[in-house]
Amino acid sequence: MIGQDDKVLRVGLLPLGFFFCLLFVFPLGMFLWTSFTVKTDTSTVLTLQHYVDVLTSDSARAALVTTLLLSVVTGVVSLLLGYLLAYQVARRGPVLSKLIFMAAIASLFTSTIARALGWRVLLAYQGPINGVLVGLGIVSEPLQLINNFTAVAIGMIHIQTPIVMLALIPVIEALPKDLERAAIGLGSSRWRAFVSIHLPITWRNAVPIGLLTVMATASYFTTPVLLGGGRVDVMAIQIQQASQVLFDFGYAAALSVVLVAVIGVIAFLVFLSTNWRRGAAARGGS
Amino acid sequence: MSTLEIEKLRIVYGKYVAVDGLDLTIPHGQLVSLLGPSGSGKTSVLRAIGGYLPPTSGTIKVNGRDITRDPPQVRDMGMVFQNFLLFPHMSVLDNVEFGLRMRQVSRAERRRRAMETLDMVRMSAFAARLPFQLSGGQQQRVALARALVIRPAILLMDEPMGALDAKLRAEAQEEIRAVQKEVGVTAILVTHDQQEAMAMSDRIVVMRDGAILEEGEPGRLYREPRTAFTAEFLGTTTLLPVEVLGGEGGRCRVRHSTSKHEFLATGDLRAGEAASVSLRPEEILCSHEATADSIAGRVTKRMFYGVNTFLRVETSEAGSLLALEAPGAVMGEGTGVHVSWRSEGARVLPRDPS
Ligand SMILES: Nc1ncnc2c1ncn2[C@@H]1O[C@H](COP(=O)(O)OP(=O)(O)O)[C@@H](O)[C@H]1O
Ligand SMILES: [Mg+2]
Repeated sequence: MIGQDDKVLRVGLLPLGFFFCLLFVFPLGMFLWTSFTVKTDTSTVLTLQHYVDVLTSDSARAALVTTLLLSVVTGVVSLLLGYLLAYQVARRGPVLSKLIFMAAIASLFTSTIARALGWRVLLAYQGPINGVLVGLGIVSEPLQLINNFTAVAIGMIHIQTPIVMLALIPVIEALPKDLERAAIGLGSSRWRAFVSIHLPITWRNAVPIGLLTVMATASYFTTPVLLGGGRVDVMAIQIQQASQVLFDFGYAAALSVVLVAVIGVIAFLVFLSTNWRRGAAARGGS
Repeated sequence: MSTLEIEKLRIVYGKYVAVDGLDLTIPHGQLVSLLGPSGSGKTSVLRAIGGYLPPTSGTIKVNGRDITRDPPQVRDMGMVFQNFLLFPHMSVLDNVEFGLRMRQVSRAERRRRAMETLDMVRMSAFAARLPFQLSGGQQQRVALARALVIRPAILLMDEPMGALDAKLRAEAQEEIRAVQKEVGVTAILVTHDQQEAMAMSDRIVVMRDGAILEEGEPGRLYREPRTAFTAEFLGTTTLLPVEVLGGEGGRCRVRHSTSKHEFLATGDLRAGEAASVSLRPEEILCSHEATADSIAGRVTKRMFYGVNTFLRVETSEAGSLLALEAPGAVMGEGTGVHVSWRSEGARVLPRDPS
């Protein structure tokens, strides 16, 4: 019976595999190929020219730095906020936890464009936040809150925090509540128990979630466009410009590959420094 | 010297009353077991004592001082949890030192006391290990050391053998009891295992539905239970439904409810009361020869347990009985036997309302 099921499963995987190759691997391969070639009238020539162009372009390098900065800031801040929220959901009473949970889900149901436009209203020169700041006399003149890096970062954090929170809830719930009770019973304060027991055990599981946020942010397009007002030039915008305005697909592909490579290296270094496997063993894994 | 007094403890979850009007005093140095089926409120009581669960009403006193509203940090209770709950990212030594570190004990003193306590549970050789590198029994000993190193007023244990297999369990019971006596700490053991409670405790508190049903020294509870529930929960017994016909001086004449068989039993119950008679297997004598007051039966099942052998005997006068095979005798399945018991071995008890 098991053998039979196995066979069915394998055959069932075939069309999936086919479509995966046709719709994902093939275009990706084509894209990668494009980044290493130039087309002349008569032939296609292998070249590293696109990569040289990317790495020598001031605007591309600046965009890469901006993108990395934005991704890391978003990743770190969403991880902190998401962790605190997830902790409340997992450890507090049912009312507060349901409220936070529903708020997070609701914000996920709203389109990212709508949310960015919402921030445009809130952060506007004559908007409510500036109104309050001026009204309370904290600043004498309205601040420039929109069309800058901070605005984009706020928008990105708003998008990523609920996702991080949802991903972290099972991480926190996996830790028995009695573990902290054990610490408290031994004389530790709640805060001490959180810092010396809860965090050291869970942070290794939280880091990969933060990394996913960094990766997702690095390729975001809408929010930087809508909240940056053209002044926050990220890689996604560069790629869009290259492919849809300049029709330089080779250059666009090279930009993408550089971005993926840099993020990949960062992820690798983070995993290496968090000692991932040993962490898994200490948690009782294999 | 720590004495624990609990008065009128009541614990309510929402609308559900988990513990209702519980009174309990534990003298210094004793190990008292809270024994009861799952859901009887044992853990709730233990958590209230530890300070993890604020009781709805009632008071908890240690040495006369009311600690009912004190937070767990200042209560000086050592707790051993069912799954041990060692801190997985800390070495055995760090786990044991944790309570001392929270008490700002100096580094050298901390190390000395932790090693001393680990010695006591024979775990000092494993001080540098991480918890996941230890077996269940070893983890439990470390958990015990972690709870004892702070010299707690009271040692609280919630099903501490729950995660151990049967063989280790017996060893751990002996070990915990020995360490508890050596340290002289007042201790409460929560368990649903009657054997464990009988083997380890100075006193057993039998709980049912959030209240104490009966309490006493293990031997007394086993031999002279006051309720059918206790008789059945502690050890094994056969309960016969009977009516009391009359009696005096601690003995009653009773009649089996269905077979109308009459016999003498021990206990003071009024005539006409519906009651149960508890017959322990070791009180039932099975013989090949009939005697004046024996009843006839047939062995339907023979269960070999090593130390002794149990016989399931079907009789028409008393229904199905669980008896102990006499040493040396072999009574195979299908054998016809004659069953008798002394009136001292048949205890008549009030019928359980349920
Ligand atoms: N946090 C809780 N919320 C609601 N009911 C609970 C809670 N904890 C325990 N109970 C209920 O209270 C009763 C007693 O539970 P507990 O003290 O854990 O019993 P025991 O340890 O004897 O099994 C059970 O019926 C259980 O379902
Ligand atoms: Mg329990």
